[in-house]
Amino acid sequence: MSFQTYIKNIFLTDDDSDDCMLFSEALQELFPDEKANLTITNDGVKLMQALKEMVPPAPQVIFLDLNMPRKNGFECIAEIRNTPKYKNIPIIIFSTSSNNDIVDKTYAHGANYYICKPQSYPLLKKTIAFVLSFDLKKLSQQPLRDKFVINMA
Amino acid sequence: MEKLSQFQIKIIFIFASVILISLSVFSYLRINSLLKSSEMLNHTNIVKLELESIFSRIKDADSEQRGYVLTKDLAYINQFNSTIREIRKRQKRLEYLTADNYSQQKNLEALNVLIEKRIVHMNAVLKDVKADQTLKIKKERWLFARAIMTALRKQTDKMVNEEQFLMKLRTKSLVKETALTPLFTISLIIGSILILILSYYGINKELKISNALKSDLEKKNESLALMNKELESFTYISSHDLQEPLRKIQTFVTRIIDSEFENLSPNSKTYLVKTNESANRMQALIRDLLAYSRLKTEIFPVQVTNLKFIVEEVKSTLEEEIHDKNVLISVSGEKNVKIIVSQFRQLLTNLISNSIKFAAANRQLQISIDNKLVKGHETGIKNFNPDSSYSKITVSDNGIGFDPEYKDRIFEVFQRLHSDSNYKGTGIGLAIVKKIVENHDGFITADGKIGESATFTIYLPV
Repeated sequence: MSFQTYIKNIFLTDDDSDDCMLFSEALQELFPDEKANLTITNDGVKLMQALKEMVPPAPQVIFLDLNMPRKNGFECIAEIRNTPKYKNIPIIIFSTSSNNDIVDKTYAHGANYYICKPQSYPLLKKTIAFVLSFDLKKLSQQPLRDKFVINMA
Repeated sequence: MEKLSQFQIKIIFIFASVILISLSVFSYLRINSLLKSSEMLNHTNIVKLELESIFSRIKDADSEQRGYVLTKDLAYINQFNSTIREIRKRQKRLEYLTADNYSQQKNLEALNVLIEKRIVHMNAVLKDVKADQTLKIKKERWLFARAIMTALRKQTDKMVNEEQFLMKLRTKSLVKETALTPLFTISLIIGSILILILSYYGINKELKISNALKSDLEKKNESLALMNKELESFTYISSHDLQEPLRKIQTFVTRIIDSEFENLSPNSKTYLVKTNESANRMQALIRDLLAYSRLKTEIFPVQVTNLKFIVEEVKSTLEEEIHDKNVLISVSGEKNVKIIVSQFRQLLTNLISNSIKFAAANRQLQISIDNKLVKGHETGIKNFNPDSSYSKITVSDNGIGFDPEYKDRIFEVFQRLHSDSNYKGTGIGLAIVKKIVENHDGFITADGKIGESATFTIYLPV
């Protein structure tokens, strides 16, 4: 299995180290040949700090968990969308919750896509591969609400 | 005091109103009889007056006749005629006044005869005197006239007396009546005041009890709201916190199956696959339990929907299973049902996947869905309005069926009739179906024959 992607500069913000590890491994397995540049931070404060230090260049996509200590996902989206330097960075929510209210809220905040953390490793890989197969233009536009949640199951 | 029932309160108020109405009727009657007695007095006086006046007019006529006889002056004749006319008028009036009294009418007739007699006699005397100016009226004729006058006097007195007697009689009975009413009225008033006071106390007491109940209910509501909140947070915990570690187990297990599977011993492979299956089952349980608990809180409006359309949607959801097992699904009967669309779709999905799960191995599975309109009394369900219409939706299959002995138990949470591990399930699917039917204010029954068929009948208000 080999995939092609234009997206090489990826941020992942999640306080769950297992999920970070699994994500990183899945990415590695998906793109063994290409050096994907994954920056992992464990909460919202650290994400904002990393953005401050590293932009430019801006990451091509941020995978963002919602429930985190110190600064949660919603605060991060709001802050990113309100900062001119970052506001065009695509944000993909990567959360356990499948609650409709929460999905609506992130859509209203301006997240680009929503992924409910998959229940199996093959599904995780499939989902990441699917998202990273988008071209940059598709990724940076917010889709219609019914296309907002990515569900590969 | 024990609780006043609504019926008792009704009775008390009906009683009080009856008393009040009779009070007003009696007061009306009383005033009426007072008026009547004064009217009667008036009537008697008028009759007396008329009688006296007729008698005095006759006397007038008598003296005018004598005047002519003595003086031969024609003015007396004129005077006499006008007096006679006056007498006739009074006679008519008396006739009218005594029209309601038979005995007085008889008396009046006798009086009229006497008056006639007297007038005829006077006219005869006048006629004779006119014809012969020198005629001397004989003493017998004067005596005859006198006798008539005496009879007239007597008859008049008789009538006056009778009228007076009548009045006395009538006023006596009226007085009796009116004397009775004040006592009766007062007792009625006292009675109704007593009833009012009693019912005031009764109702006040009821109000106190119901207020106490209300505040008790409010307290219970508050604690219920609190419990609901706790339940919601429990729902959240089970949806989020419980799923989180489960998801990790699933992901790591599948991670091993995905990339390290070949390195494992045959035993480890089996155990790992079993671990994965258990984790998946637990996930299904949590998911279904959440779906079940959420059904209570979500309220959606019902809308008239084409049943076929919903069935098509469900078919496309279950497309893979329907295709794999070569299931035949047919829809017949009435077109529309009144449903909460999202919930009813879930209901049909559960019923159809249930049928597919319990298909008989040796024959093609056929599921027929039928929709009929029935009246409440035809359903035999107590809570339904006998005259209202209901949709009767039957979902029947030719699968392995079930023992009708369990037809009520199959709707309970975690109830499973088939211990055979071939029939996997969480035991929540039909509980969800029942809850959805209840959310529609409907009713569901199940019936089955072992090895032959299962039928689910759903009644929904239209």
